[in-house]
Amino acid sequence: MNIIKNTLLALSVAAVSHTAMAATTGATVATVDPDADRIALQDYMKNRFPDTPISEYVNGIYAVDAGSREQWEAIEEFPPYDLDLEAGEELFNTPFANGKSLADCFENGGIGIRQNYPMWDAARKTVVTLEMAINECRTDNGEKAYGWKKGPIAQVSAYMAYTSRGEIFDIPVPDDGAKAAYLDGKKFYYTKRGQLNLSCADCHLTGTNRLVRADLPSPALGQATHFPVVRSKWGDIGTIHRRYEGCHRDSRSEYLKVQSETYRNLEYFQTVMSNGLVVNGPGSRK
Amino acid sequence: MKKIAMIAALAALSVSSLTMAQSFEDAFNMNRAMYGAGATFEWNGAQYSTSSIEEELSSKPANKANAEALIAAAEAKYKEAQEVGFAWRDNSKYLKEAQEALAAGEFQKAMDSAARSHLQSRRGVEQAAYAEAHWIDAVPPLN
Repeated sequence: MNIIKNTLLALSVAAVSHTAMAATTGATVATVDPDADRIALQDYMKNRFPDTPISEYVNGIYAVDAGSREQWEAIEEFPPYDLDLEAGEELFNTPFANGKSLADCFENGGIGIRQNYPMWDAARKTVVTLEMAINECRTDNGEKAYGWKKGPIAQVSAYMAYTSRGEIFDIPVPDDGAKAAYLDGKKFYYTKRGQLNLSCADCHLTGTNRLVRADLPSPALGQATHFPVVRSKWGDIGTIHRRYEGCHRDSRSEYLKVQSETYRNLEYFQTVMSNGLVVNGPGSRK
Repeated sequence: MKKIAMIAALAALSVSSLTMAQSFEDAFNMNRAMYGAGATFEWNGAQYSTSSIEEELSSKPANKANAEALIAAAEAKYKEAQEVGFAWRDNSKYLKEAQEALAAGEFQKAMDSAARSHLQSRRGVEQAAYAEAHWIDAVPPLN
């Protein structure tokens, strides 16, 4: 009798272990749970890097690789984005032809509000990024929109981020529409694509701090806190969507347009994953 | 006794895994690896080629009609890959090369480039189906 009981028990355990291999939550609007996703991601990172406090992840790869951090700290002694900050402040304060300015389009005059973006716009049923809000403010006031990836858009965004340093991200996912957008971004992040069959997570979750040629990919946690950034590879300042385009292309996929709905949803997901962390943009990266 | 029970359970699992029918994809890949393109193999009682669809199409006589047909097939497959959001970076480049070669009367080159694009699009469509079923597996679980 005992043999039968034990055999059945063992078979049950084996069957359950097979079932447990498939995730059963978080793949639909009904089941997706942004807070649970964030806690799970934090737990993953705690297991991988037990000596790194969660608050450190705003610093990307420099949170987990001492050698890279030493070089980065040397670079930050004379931040390469300083001139962009000055240019951004000037652009931000320059009145439009109609006498209004960017400050008129944002809460608190646009100062210290970076942590609220990207935000879910329930009326429009879409995610609004900070760069999108900046350009909409310009066009609504009869000005020409900035280009999306670098230059003035990144400089203004950098200035607005700078005025928000230390503020804590707490991006809500308030309704089913927002959940659908969040889920779309989450799905994009974890989906393998392109000729190289790579997902964002392949490099930034399992591949974090593991060499990809000569690079050490940054951790998935905190990736949205420090943009826009001056990348050594770019030689200038750029937005997070500029980075998305490059990553997407590097997987040998046909990449999307910056500020496309999918990239905005991706930024929404990534920023929700950064909830509880501080704004520390603009930043400098390799 | 518990050990015997565990061994019985593991044996049962192993047997169930071994007795699973071989999929067409596995059979194709195994025979392709063993014999290369142009061979035949049997699967579920029927004969199949170890050549890919693209190898079959591009090995037809190099002429205008076959080049046009292959380019049309590649364009349709590219559209399919785009619609599911899994077109690869170089699909359009290969299609352009195929069209330019066709215009220049270089039919074999046109067919080779179109076949390359077709292969990438077909793989992209397959990748989309796999991703739909498996993307969630990569999400860290709650402890």
